[in-house]
Amino acid sequence: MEINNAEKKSFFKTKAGGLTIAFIVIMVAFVIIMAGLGSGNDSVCLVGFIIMVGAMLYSPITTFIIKPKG
Amino acid sequence: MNIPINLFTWIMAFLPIIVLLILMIKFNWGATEAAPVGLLITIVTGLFFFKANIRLIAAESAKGVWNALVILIIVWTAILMYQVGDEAKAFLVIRNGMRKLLPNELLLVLAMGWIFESFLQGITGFGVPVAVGAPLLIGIGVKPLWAVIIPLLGQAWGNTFGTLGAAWDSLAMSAGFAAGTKEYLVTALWTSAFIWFWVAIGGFATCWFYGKGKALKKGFPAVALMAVIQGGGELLLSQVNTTICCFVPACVSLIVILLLGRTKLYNQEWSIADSPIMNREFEEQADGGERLPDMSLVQAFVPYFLLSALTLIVLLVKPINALLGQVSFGLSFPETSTGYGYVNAAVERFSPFTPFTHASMFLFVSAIVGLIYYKSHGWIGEGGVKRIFVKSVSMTMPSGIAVIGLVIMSKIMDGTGQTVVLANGIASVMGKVYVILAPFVGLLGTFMTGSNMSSNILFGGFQMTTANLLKVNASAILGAQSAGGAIGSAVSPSKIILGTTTAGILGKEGEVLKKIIALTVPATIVIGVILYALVAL
Repeated sequence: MEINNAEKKSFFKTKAGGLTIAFIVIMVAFVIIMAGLGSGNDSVCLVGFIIMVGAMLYSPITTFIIKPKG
Repeated sequence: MNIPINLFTWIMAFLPIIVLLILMIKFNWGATEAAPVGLLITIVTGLFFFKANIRLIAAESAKGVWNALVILIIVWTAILMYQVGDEAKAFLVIRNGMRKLLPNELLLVLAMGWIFESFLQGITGFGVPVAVGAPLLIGIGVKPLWAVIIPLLGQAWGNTFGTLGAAWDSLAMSAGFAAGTKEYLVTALWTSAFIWFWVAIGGFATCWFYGKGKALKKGFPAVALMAVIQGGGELLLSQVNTTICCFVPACVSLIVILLLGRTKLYNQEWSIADSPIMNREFEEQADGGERLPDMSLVQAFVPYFLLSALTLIVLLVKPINALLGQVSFGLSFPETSTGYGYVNAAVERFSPFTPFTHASMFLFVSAIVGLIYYKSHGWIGEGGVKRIFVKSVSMTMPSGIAVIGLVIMSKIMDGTGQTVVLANGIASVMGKVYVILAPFVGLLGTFMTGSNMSSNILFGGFQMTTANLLKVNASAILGAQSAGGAIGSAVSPSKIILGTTTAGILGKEGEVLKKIIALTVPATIVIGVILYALVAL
């Protein structure tokens, strides 16, 4: 069990793990946008859209701003 | 639509694409990093210069996520199929078996990187040939970068009439041609003639990459024969049945290349020791390192045979297709419009997903049956099943962000009218000289959307209108559009990323793009110049 937890922890610390989280966040944002479009509520659409853009920018921000190469 | 088409709006519409290209080609950014930046620029230009509102941008983003999810299911199932073969060491068996059948290394590379991809493109498409082909080439000792480039070039010709003619049908639909009419057949003839040109380029380029002039000389008879079978066969069959006019020549060429390996010209061991695309150290390691399972070549190919059979049965046997096609679901979207009056009509079921006739289902079933088959023979050991699934998910996720970013970008560009401005601007400024750029517009469409079919939907109507405005042969222009779109599939970032993912070189998309763009853009310009000489002079 401890090994599994350690594996999970190390995976989510990797780039692939971070992108996996970003992917899940985008899916959540997708559901929020669809709910906003369905109910005709632009504020809900905006919240979902901002979450989605934030998750999309995870990779360029971590690669070039937080941990820039050399 | 009242969008002003001037230099400023044209530059604004082109900005996201040019930034994407610069980041990937000049700065070697991976698609995972470049796509979100391109997307951000598209959002800004859409909101501020094309007068979109947040509802439109959010709706187009959601459409993009939905389309990207459908693509990602294919990516995951293609990677799953690869992982099944990898875990069972089937690729080592395929590599050694194909080496025995094709002792000439150049012919082996052509068979595994060009002909097999053509066959896969004929039935599946959606980037599957690239995702599956890259690891197969690595298995025969090709360097990972080239293992992505060669299948990208090899599969491109099949993008219009491959996947059982899906992209062609969308072109005919956009132009309003009914199947079998004179315009339909003439356009099919022009399209297949231009594609034939690219078929030959794909083969000769692979020879050149393998060993420059020496390899070109050695490979010339094989490539010329394959080009006649694939390109010429497609041209002839396009006048009979456009659904199978790519698949049938692709199958014939697969058989013929194996027979070529038995001819005097190619039945001896032949290779170029210092070939820049081959990893000789890898081959030595692979030869001495891993123990081969007791598996025949036919057994190693079981999942691929199943994939071919399944795809053909489901797509060609109409009662089965109709029955399985009944299960379908899509999302509904409200009407949206920009401040310029560019309207995106409401849709009840946007891009309906038909799971049981979708390429991902064929891949998934083939992968699972392959897994059971390999496991029943003891070729997949303890913990192997878990490893296969974990690795397939881990490999899919990173490419997911790039695919989602690129598809949303194209959706927002389309939904805010940026794509129309881009195309109209080119046509109105250039006049008849536009004809030269007609195939390039097709390429651009596929680059942006990741699919020849989407490029044809996006630009088919525009190309036809432009041809009529300029009073040039519309069938020829449409043929150039689709041929350019097919060639564009080699530079489509969402396809490139499939290859870099399965080849294990994620982040090297810029390097791949840089090498392929040097071949694809001149090829579309040459087609454009030929077209200009034939219809506009």
